[in-house]
Amino acid sequence: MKNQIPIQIKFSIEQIKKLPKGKYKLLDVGSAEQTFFQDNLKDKIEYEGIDYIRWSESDPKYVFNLDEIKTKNFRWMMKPTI
Amino acid sequence: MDDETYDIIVCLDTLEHTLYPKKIMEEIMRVAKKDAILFLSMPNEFNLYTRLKNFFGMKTPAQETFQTIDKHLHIHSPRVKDILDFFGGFGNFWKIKYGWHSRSVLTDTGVLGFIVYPVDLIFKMLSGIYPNLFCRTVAVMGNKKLRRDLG
Repeated sequence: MKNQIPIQIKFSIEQIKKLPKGKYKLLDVGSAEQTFFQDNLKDKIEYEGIDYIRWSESDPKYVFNLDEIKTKNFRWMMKPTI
Repeated sequence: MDDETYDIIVCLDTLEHTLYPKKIMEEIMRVAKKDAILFLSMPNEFNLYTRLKNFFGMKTPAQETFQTIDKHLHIHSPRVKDILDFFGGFGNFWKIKYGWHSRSVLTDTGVLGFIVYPVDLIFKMLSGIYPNLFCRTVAVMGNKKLRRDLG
């Protein structure tokens, strides 16, 4: 049973596979699914992920900024909880 | 990040962990192309498993009182209706997937995974019939709402 793909990821991958041929620029907000998406949609997507979303305590207006995340090398910090 | 950059945006089981999901959705809308396809999901926190656990005075792994922020657990606990209403405010969704999966089926190699597996299959079937109770995850596919859709 190990490593089954969670339903929501499987659903997304199945639907993306059905899209017309082409290369799609995909943004994964949350980035838990990088391996699944890259393994299953190698030729179809150009993957980009935001692997850390700021909690925004200091500035509620600021939600995420990919450049800053890359620069500061933030790591994935949210545990899967289901 | 520039406006209207991405063809597909996925945000799966993430928003419930964040303090301001609406702001994240607004940012997603900004960076999504006009015809971008969105895949979004959130867990239904009022499913049978959660209800039973709570009924018997227990908590799920996502409910750790006073440690929600420290452990990056679920800040928001939506029902199916809340999830659909929330997503509906940002996109036109034409596919909705109600699903059930147990954590042990996804991660356990041992006996527990095999015991839970058939139960999961039954719940998966029931999740389409009565999602409020039997659906653990609500996943949607659609387009972002354009200004003209919003009126």
